[in-house]
Amino acid sequence: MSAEQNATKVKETEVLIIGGVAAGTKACAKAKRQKPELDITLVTEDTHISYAGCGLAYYIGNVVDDATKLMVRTPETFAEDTGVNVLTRNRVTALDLEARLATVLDLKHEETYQIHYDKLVIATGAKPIMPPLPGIKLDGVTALRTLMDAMRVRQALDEGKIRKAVVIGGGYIGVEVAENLVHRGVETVLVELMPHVLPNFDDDVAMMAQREMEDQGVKVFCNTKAEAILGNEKGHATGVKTTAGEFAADLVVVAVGVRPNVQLAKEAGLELGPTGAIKVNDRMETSAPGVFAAGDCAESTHILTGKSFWAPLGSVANKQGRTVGINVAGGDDRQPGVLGSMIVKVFDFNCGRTGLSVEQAAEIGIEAVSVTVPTHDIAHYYPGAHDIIIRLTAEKATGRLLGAYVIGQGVVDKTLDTIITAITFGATTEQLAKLDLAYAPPYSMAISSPLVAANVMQRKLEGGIEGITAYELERKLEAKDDFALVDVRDELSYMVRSIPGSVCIPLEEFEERLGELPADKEIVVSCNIGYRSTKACALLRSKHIGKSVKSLDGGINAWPYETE
Amino acid sequence: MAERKLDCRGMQCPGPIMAVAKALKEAAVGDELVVEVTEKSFAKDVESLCKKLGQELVSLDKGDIVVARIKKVK
Repeated sequence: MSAEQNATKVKETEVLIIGGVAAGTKACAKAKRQKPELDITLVTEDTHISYAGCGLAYYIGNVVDDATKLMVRTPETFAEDTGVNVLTRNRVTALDLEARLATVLDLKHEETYQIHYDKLVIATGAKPIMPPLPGIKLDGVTALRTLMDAMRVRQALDEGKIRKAVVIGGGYIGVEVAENLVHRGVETVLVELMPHVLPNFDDDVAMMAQREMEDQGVKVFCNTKAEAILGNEKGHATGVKTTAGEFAADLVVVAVGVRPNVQLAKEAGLELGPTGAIKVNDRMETSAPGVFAAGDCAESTHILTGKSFWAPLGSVANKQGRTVGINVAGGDDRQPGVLGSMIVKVFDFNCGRTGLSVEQAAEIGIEAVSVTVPTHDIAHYYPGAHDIIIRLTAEKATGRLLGAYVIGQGVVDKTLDTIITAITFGATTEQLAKLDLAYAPPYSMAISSPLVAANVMQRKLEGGIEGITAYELERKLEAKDDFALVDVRDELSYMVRSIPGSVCIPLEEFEERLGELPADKEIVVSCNIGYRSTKACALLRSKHIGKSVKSLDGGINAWPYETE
Repeated sequence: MAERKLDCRGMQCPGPIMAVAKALKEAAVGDELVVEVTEKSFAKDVESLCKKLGQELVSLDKGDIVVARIKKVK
């Protein structure tokens, strides 16, 4: 159908943008700045546009008191400021890419019309996965994806209707929601299918975050499957049946993950990538000419693996939207890709990651090593200093940096972002260790934490440290392997907190008591942070004691499992 | 029954717990120690220490500064 055939029902626009949260509005605003005369129409089925979707958990927790603070722009002010034609409560139901026609349903007036465009931007975002559990449609069961979802939960909390809640899923949304429910005085249970929360973190790193959640009052059940949502005769949820038992709940938040919202793109015949999101090139162009995609519905490329990667994050969406805005206005902007960086607050604990773990590097044929380094965010004597732990990963053969976890009560984002910058520019461990970073006691340690981690990595790459991670040691203990576990801290520290099955030989007495150690068995040595244990290991090696000798990476400070 | 204050703010692990153990040794039965610590892991450690030594942890405030009140009972 052409515009001439049905003039009353076909609107014309140069650029049609579908979706109005992060990527869609960013593309709009940037395109208009680049080329003010461009005629742009933005269509969204939502009531709101341009809101801070990432802030929703903090709104239900009343950390952000007012929903209007999350609304960056209203549809009216956005239209006025940018000159874009904004159509909320309008849903694009079909696309004819050949004819460049979108069929749109006006949800307010229940009318169908068409928009003829020259260029199309698909920014349809992602949708929460709602598993087909019995009772999933009951009142009181919700995802936390839209502002409306958050407003409903917030209102119920404000009215005192929620005393108990179950959060299904321990990814970063689930973790943030659980924290904010606890802030509101709600008894909160979190169930996670995987062995630990934050499934894309290493086991032992995630376990530290999980301990923090438990200490702050969240009841966490891992390796646990939600089987059904229970309800009353009024059709309201009353609890969740899981493989770990039944939990009462006035509110059930489903946070098992999101999927790219690609139905429209798929039906129109656009190519999807291996992640299930829309395949794009570095200009954010899809498989069809003149059609762009950005945000949670589009793929990225992983900078280190070169493979398709799906990073449904506000940061990525805004950058992609900006690139699209430039390109629809006739420019040539490109996205280099992502590292899988993320950061999440878990009560008083901060958890960040980037790049590849040792296992992920192995999957693409890179032999990598990691070090786990407990350190501080600022000078340890300056008030407000806190511990942080860095796990740094580098390529064994070249020392090229590949990834990091930075977690702890202290400031982790600065260290993480420094490492991200280094990885992005292809730096080696040695180059990171020599950076001239800003220093004064209130801001950093004299040798800043990423540099400390790089120095430890240097030693490891030179063969000076043979380490074992907390997770690997936990597995050995679990499997009841035949090995000796020696704690070289002082007797008092050992008495207060020690790893089950360890024996204490303080470093000061180590040399005289070498006879107590098995000459022919594997020996694992632990201390507070991995410094004294490395010294003890060197001594054992020089005396040829032990079949193999390993130091516990990060010591007991980075040990999240059981102690006695 | 004396009360002794221990300022362990800014001290790193295991400094505070060692200071507490030493002060407990020096104290008389019935004395109380009030310890202020900025190192967060101290809260768990002092619970464990009191349990293992059989001393009474009268109160534990886990704010920005952890404050523990310990009574020597034996």
